[in-house]
Amino acid sequence: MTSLSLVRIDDRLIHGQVVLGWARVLKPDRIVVANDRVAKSDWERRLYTASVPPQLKASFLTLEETAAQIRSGAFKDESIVLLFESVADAHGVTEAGVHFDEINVGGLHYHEGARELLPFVYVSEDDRRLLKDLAGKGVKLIAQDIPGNPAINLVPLVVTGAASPSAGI
Amino acid sequence: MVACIIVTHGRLAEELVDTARRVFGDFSDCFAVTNEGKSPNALYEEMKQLVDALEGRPCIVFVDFTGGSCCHACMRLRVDREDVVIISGVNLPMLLAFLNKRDSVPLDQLPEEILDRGHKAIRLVDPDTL
Repeated sequence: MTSLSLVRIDDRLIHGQVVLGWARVLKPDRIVVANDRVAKSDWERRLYTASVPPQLKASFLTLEETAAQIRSGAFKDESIVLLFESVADAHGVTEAGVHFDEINVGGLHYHEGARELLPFVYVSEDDRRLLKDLAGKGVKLIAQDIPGNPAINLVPLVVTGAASPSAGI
Repeated sequence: MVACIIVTHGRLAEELVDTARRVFGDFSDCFAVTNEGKSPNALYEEMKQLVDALEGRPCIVFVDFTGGSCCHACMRLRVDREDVVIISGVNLPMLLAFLNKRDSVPLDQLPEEILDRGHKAIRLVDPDTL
């Protein structure tokens, strides 16, 4: 079975917190970027590939390919960091029959109509609805930007839609 | 005059500009940008607006390191604007070299001179060989 060492929603996809923070601690074999736009764009793939440390493999898959490959165990015996750009993308892959035990919402910055839950997590009403749906399916939702910081349980914040009292830290 | 944009994680860009002012004296046309709290698109848009506001004047973009979201925004900018020069690994000697040379060194040689200064500034410091 594929070993997903981290499933992360982060609008920056591959960047410093992922390659310097998470990859250093988790030592995955491969980063999988699940994103239709990047998978279909030569220059965006090149751009993100330039951010991948040499010891790591990287795959750029559409959401459909991601779901199919995880279901078929294509990354068997590899430790994987799986990255989504948006809540909708992660939710879409679960709808396609993939179960995630835990999703880390590591970076969703301000976007149109979004409200702050944490300084690094802004969600729209659509995002909230989809996150609640994920929580209802038994997916543990946490928010943790880098490994050294606490993992915040996102579910109560998603349910109430209120910013965390500790959001100022 | 050649302008510059410094884009970094955290407050590094702002502090580089501030520190350079303390060493070099006051200067203009140097903009500090942080990625803090910004989506990739917001960061890119901010940089693009700065470059557009220069109305075609030459510009060098300094970024802290390759592989982060700052560099990503720079590379996106470069796709639209091939004339913009992007230099990674910015340090204080590089910024000071830029400020010292931007009025005197031809634009096509300026990036090399900045890189050279940056490379030479990184060394083991041994009083016997200095």
